[in-house]
Amino acid sequence: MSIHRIHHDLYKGAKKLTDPGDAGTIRVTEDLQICEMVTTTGETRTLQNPTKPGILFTLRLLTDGGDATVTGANGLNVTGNTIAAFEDDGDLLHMISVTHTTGYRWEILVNTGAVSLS
Amino acid sequence: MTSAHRIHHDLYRGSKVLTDPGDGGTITAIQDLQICEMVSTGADTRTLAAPTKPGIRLVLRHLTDGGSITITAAEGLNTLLETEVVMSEAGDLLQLIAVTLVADSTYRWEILVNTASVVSSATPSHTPSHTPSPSSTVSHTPSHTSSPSHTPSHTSSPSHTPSSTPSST
Repeated sequence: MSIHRIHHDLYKGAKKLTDPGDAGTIRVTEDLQICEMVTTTGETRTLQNPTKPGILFTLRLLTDGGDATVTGANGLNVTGNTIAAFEDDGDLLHMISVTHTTGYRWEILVNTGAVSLS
Repeated sequence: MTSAHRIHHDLYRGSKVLTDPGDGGTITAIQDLQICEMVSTGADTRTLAAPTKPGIRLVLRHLTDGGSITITAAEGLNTLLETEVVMSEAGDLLQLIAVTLVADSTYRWEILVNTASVVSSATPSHTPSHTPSPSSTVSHTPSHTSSPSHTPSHTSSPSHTPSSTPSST
Protein backbone atom coordinates (compact mmCIF):
# COMPACT_ATOMS: atom_id res chain seq x y z
CA MET A 1 0.00 0.00 0.00
CA SER A 2 1.49 3.33 -1.06
CA ILE A 3 0.42 6.79 -0.05
CA HIS A 4 -0.90 7.22 -3.57
CA ARG A 5 -3.20 4.23 -3.22
CA ILE A 6 -4.10 4.32 0.42
CA HIS A 7 -7.57 5.82 -0.02
CA HIS A 8 -8.30 3.48 -2.87
CA ASP A 9 -7.15 0.52 -0.77
CA LEU A 10 -9.28 1.79 2.10
CA TYR A 11 -12.22 1.89 -0.26
CA LYS A 12 -11.60 -1.71 -1.26
CA GLY A 13 -11.17 -2.94 2.29
CA ALA A 14 -14.06 -4.61 4.09
CA LYS A 15 -16.15 -2.07 5.97
CA LYS A 16 -18.80 -4.40 7.22
CA LEU A 17 -18.92 -5.70 10.76
CA THR A 18 -21.40 -8.54 10.62
CA ASP A 19 -24.45 -8.17 12.81
CA PRO A 20 -24.15 -10.81 15.57
CA GLY A 21 -27.91 -11.15 15.82
CA ASP A 22 -30.21 -11.16 18.81
CA ALA A 23 -28.40 -11.14 22.16
CA GLY A 24 -25.06 -11.06 20.39
CA THR A 25 -22.00 -8.94 21.12
CA ILE A 26 -20.68 -6.37 18.69
CA ARG A 27 -16.89 -6.38 18.96
CA VAL A 28 -15.12 -3.66 17.03
CA THR A 29 -11.65 -4.87 16.11
CA GLU A 30 -11.11 -2.73 13.03
CA ASP A 31 -11.34 0.98 12.44
CA LEU A 32 -13.93 2.75 10.25
CA GLN A 33 -16.42 -0.09 10.12
CA ILE A 34 -20.19 -0.17 9.93
CA CYS A 35 -22.56 -2.71 11.49
CA GLU A 36 -26.06 -2.79 10.01
CA MET A 37 -28.45 -4.67 12.24
CA VAL A 38 -31.48 -6.68 11.17
CA THR A 39 -34.17 -7.48 13.71
CA THR A 40 -37.12 -9.83 13.50
CA THR A 41 -38.62 -8.83 16.84
CA GLY A 42 -37.56 -6.86 19.90
CA GLU A 43 -33.88 -7.74 20.17
CA THR A 44 -30.76 -6.85 22.11
CA ARG A 45 -27.08 -6.38 21.36
CA THR A 46 -24.13 -5.71 23.58
CA LEU A 47 -21.64 -3.20 22.24
CA GLN A 48 -18.32 -4.17 23.70
CA ASN A 49 -16.25 -1.38 25.16
CA PRO A 50 -13.45 -0.26 22.86
CA THR A 51 -9.84 -0.97 23.74
CA LYS A 52 -8.26 2.30 22.64
CA PRO A 53 -9.30 5.87 21.91
CA GLY A 54 -9.94 7.26 18.45
CA ILE A 55 -11.69 4.35 16.75
CA LEU A 56 -14.58 5.39 14.48
CA PHE A 57 -17.58 3.10 14.22
CA THR A 58 -21.06 3.35 12.75
CA LEU A 59 -24.04 1.37 14.02
CA ARG A 60 -27.29 1.33 12.05
CA LEU A 61 -30.65 -0.44 12.04
CA LEU A 62 -31.05 -1.74 8.49
CA THR A 63 -34.28 -3.71 8.83
CA ASP A 64 -36.78 -2.97 11.55
CA GLY A 65 -38.52 -6.14 12.65
CA GLY A 66 -38.60 -4.76 16.19
CA ASP A 67 -36.54 -2.47 18.36
CA ALA A 68 -32.84 -3.17 18.75
CA THR A 69 -31.67 -2.30 22.25
CA VAL A 70 -27.92 -1.88 22.34
CA THR A 71 -26.00 -1.69 25.60
CA GLY A 72 -22.57 -0.13 25.96
CA ALA A 73 -21.54 -0.82 29.54
CA ASN A 74 -19.11 2.08 29.92
CA GLY A 75 -21.55 4.58 28.47
CA LEU A 76 -22.30 6.24 25.16
CA ASN A 77 -22.09 9.93 26.03
CA VAL A 78 -20.96 12.36 28.69
CA THR A 79 -24.16 11.78 30.63
CA GLY A 80 -23.29 8.14 30.98
CA ASN A 81 -26.29 6.72 29.14
CA THR A 82 -25.60 3.06 28.47
CA ILE A 83 -28.58 2.00 26.37
CA ALA A 84 -29.43 3.01 22.82
CA ALA A 85 -32.78 1.96 21.41
CA PHE A 86 -32.97 1.73 17.61
CA GLU A 87 -36.68 1.87 16.88
CA ASP A 88 -36.90 2.58 13.15
CA ASP A 89 -34.97 1.40 10.16
CA GLY A 90 -32.37 3.93 9.20
CA ASP A 91 -31.62 4.90 12.80
CA LEU A 92 -27.89 5.46 12.92
CA LEU A 93 -25.18 6.30 15.44
CA HIS A 94 -21.72 7.40 14.38
CA MET A 95 -19.32 7.00 17.29
CA ILE A 96 -15.73 7.48 18.37
CA SER A 97 -13.97 5.68 21.19
CA VAL A 98 -12.75 7.80 24.07
CA THR A 99 -10.96 7.26 27.33
CA HIS A 100 -13.12 6.35 30.31
CA THR A 101 -12.38 6.13 34.01
CA THR A 102 -12.25 2.38 33.60
CA GLY A 103 -10.80 1.76 30.19
CA TYR A 104 -12.59 3.21 27.18
CA ARG A 105 -16.12 3.88 26.02
CA TRP A 106 -18.02 5.00 22.94
CA GLU A 107 -19.05 8.61 22.38
CA ILE A 108 -21.86 9.44 19.97
CA LEU A 109 -20.78 11.94 17.32
CA VAL A 110 -23.88 11.82 15.16
CA ASN A 111 -27.40 10.51 15.76
CA THR A 112 -29.23 10.75 12.47
CA GLY A 113 -32.46 9.16 13.51
CA ALA A 114 -34.53 8.75 16.60
CA VAL A 115 -32.15 6.58 18.56
CA SER A 116 -33.22 7.13 22.15
CA LEU A 117 -30.72 6.96 24.97
CA SER A 118 -31.16 5.93 28.55
CA MET B 1 3.72 -1.45 2.11
CA THR B 2 2.07 0.49 4.87
CA SER B 3 2.73 -0.91 8.31
CA ALA B 4 0.51 -0.47 11.32
CA HIS B 5 2.99 2.09 12.59
CA ARG B 6 2.81 4.19 9.43
CA ILE B 7 -0.78 3.87 8.31
CA HIS B 8 -2.02 7.12 9.80
CA HIS B 9 0.99 8.98 8.49
CA ASP B 10 0.36 7.55 5.06
CA LEU B 11 -3.31 8.45 5.34
CA TYR B 12 -2.29 12.01 6.11
CA ARG B 13 -0.07 12.14 3.04
CA GLY B 14 -2.47 10.41 0.66
CA SER B 15 -4.53 12.51 -1.70
CA LYS B 16 -7.89 13.47 -0.25
CA VAL B 17 -9.20 15.40 -3.21
CA LEU B 18 -11.94 14.11 -5.43
CA THR B 19 -11.86 16.52 -8.34
CA ASP B 20 -15.02 18.49 -8.97
CA PRO B 21 -16.43 17.25 -12.30
CA GLY B 22 -17.99 20.64 -13.02
CA ASP B 23 -21.45 21.60 -14.16
CA GLY B 24 -23.50 18.63 -15.24
CA GLY B 25 -20.85 16.19 -14.08
CA THR B 26 -21.03 13.07 -11.96
CA ILE B 27 -19.26 12.68 -8.65
CA THR B 28 -18.18 9.07 -8.28
CA ALA B 29 -16.45 8.11 -5.06
CA ILE B 30 -13.99 5.33 -5.78
CA GLN B 31 -11.77 6.03 -2.80
CA ASP B 32 -12.53 6.34 0.90
CA LEU B 33 -12.29 9.46 3.07
CA GLN B 34 -12.19 11.99 0.24
CA ILE B 35 -13.49 15.50 -0.17
CA CYS B 36 -14.95 17.09 -3.28
CA GLU B 37 -14.91 20.89 -3.22
CA MET B 38 -17.13 22.29 -5.92
CA VAL B 39 -16.82 25.54 -7.79
CA SER B 40 -19.90 26.92 -9.50
CA THR B 41 -20.03 29.60 -12.15
CA GLY B 42 -23.78 29.72 -12.50
CA ALA B 43 -26.71 27.58 -11.45
CA ASP B 44 -24.86 24.29 -11.63
CA THR B 45 -25.83 20.67 -11.21
CA ARG B 46 -23.97 17.57 -10.15
CA THR B 47 -25.00 13.94 -9.98
CA LEU B 48 -23.73 11.95 -7.01
CA ALA B 49 -23.30 8.34 -8.06
CA ALA B 50 -24.57 5.72 -5.63
CA PRO B 51 -21.86 4.00 -3.59
CA THR B 52 -21.06 0.37 -4.21
CA LYS B 53 -20.64 -0.75 -0.61
CA PRO B 54 -21.49 0.41 2.90
CA GLY B 55 -19.12 2.39 5.10
CA ILE B 56 -17.46 4.69 2.55
CA ARG B 57 -17.15 8.29 3.71
CA LEU B 58 -17.25 11.38 1.52
CA VAL B 59 -17.39 15.11 2.12
CA LEU B 60 -19.04 17.47 -0.36
CA ARG B 61 -18.42 21.19 -0.06
CA HIS B 62 -19.29 24.30 -1.99
CA LEU B 63 -15.95 26.05 -2.30
CA THR B 64 -16.74 28.98 -4.58
CA ASP B 65 -20.25 30.29 -4.97
CA GLY B 66 -20.91 31.46 -8.48
CA GLY B 67 -24.45 30.16 -8.17
CA SER B 68 -26.32 27.42 -6.38
CA ILE B 69 -25.31 23.81 -6.96
CA THR B 70 -28.08 21.24 -7.12
CA ILE B 71 -26.82 17.75 -6.40
CA THR B 72 -28.93 14.71 -7.20
CA ALA B 73 -28.43 11.30 -5.65
CA ALA B 74 -30.98 8.96 -7.17
CA GLU B 75 -30.96 6.43 -4.32
CA GLY B 76 -31.56 9.03 -1.63
CA LEU B 77 -29.60 10.93 0.97
CA ASN B 78 -31.45 10.24 4.19
CA THR B 79 -34.09 7.99 5.71
CA LEU B 80 -36.76 9.93 3.85
CA LEU B 81 -34.93 9.06 0.65
CA GLU B 82 -34.80 12.67 -0.41
CA THR B 83 -32.71 12.86 -3.53
CA GLU B 84 -31.69 16.48 -3.97
CA VAL B 85 -29.60 18.93 -2.04
CA VAL B 86 -28.98 22.53 -2.95
CA MET B 87 -25.77 24.16 -1.84
CA SER B 88 -26.52 27.83 -2.14
CA GLU B 89 -23.65 29.36 -0.21
CA ALA B 90 -19.89 29.01 -0.19
CA GLY B 91 -18.91 26.79 2.70
CA ASP B 92 -22.00 24.60 2.58
CA LEU B 93 -20.81 21.14 3.50
CA LEU B 94 -22.15 17.62 3.85
CA GLN B 95 -20.37 14.67 5.40
CA LEU B 96 -21.79 11.43 4.02
CA ILE B 97 -21.48 7.73 4.71
CA ALA B 98 -22.53 4.90 2.43
CA VAL B 99 -25.25 2.66 3.84
CA THR B 100 -27.24 -0.31 2.61
CA LEU B 101 -30.55 0.36 0.88
CA VAL B 102 -31.27 -3.20 -0.20
CA ALA B 103 -29.16 -5.90 1.41
CA ASP B 104 -26.18 -6.97 -0.66
CA SER B 105 -27.30 -5.13 -3.76
CA THR B 106 -28.08 -1.44 -3.47
CA TYR B 107 -26.45 1.29 -1.46
CA ARG B 108 -27.07 4.98 -0.92
CA TRP B 109 -25.53 7.94 0.83
CA GLU B 110 -26.63 9.02 4.30
CA ILE B 111 -25.93 12.51 5.57
CA LEU B 112 -23.99 12.46 8.83
CA VAL B 113 -23.22 16.15 9.13
CA ASN B 114 -24.77 19.19 7.50
CA THR B 115 -22.81 22.22 8.59
CA ALA B 116 -24.81 24.85 6.79
CA SER B 117 -28.10 25.52 5.11
CA VAL B 118 -28.06 22.70 2.63
CA VAL B 119 -31.66 21.83 1.86
CA SER B 120 -33.03 18.65 0.50
CA SER B 121 -36.20 18.00 -1.38
CA ALA B 122 -38.63 15.12 -0.98
CA THR B 123 -38.39 13.68 -4.41
CA PRO B 124 -37.65 10.01 -3.91
CA SER B 125 -36.96 8.36 -7.21
CA HIS B 126 -38.34 4.98 -6.23
CA THR B 127 -40.26 3.18 -3.57
CA PRO B 128 -38.12 2.57 -0.50
CA SER B 129 -37.50 -0.98 0.58
CA HIS B 130 -38.61 -0.06 4.05
CA THR B 131 -40.97 2.49 5.39
CA PRO B 132 -38.90 5.50 6.32
CA SER B 133 -39.17 6.65 9.86
CA PRO B 134 -41.19 9.83 10.09
CA SER B 135 -39.36 10.70 13.25
CA SER B 136 -35.96 10.56 11.64
CA THR B 137 -33.95 13.70 11.36
CA VAL B 138 -34.10 15.12 7.88
CA SER B 139 -30.98 16.24 6.17
CA HIS B 140 -31.72 19.91 6.33
CA THR B 141 -31.41 19.88 10.07
CA PRO B 142 -28.12 21.50 10.91
CA SER B 143 -25.66 19.03 12.30
CA HIS B 144 -25.22 20.90 15.52
CA THR B 145 -28.78 20.14 16.44
CA SER B 146 -28.67 16.49 15.56
CA SER B 147 -26.48 15.19 18.33
CA PRO B 148 -28.80 14.01 21.05
CA SER B 149 -25.90 12.47 22.85
CA HIS B 150 -25.65 15.66 24.82
CA THR B 151 -29.36 15.91 25.37
CA PRO B 152 -30.53 12.40 26.08
CA SER B 153 -34.21 11.83 25.78
CA HIS B 154 -34.40 9.72 28.85
CA THR B 155 -33.20 10.00 32.39
CA SER B 156 -29.72 8.74 32.57
CA SER B 157 -29.04 5.55 34.42
CA PRO B 158 -25.36 4.95 33.96
CA SER B 159 -23.92 1.66 35.02
CA HIS B 160 -20.65 3.37 35.73
CA THR B 161 -19.51 6.74 36.83
CA PRO B 162 -20.65 9.21 34.21
CA SER B 163 -17.93 10.31 31.89
CA SER B 164 -18.31 13.90 32.93
CA THR B 165 -15.65 12.82 35.35
CA PRO B 166 -12.13 12.73 33.94
CA SER B 167 -13.12 10.25 31.25
CA SER B 168 -14.80 12.93 29.24
CA THR B 169 -11.67 14.89 28.71
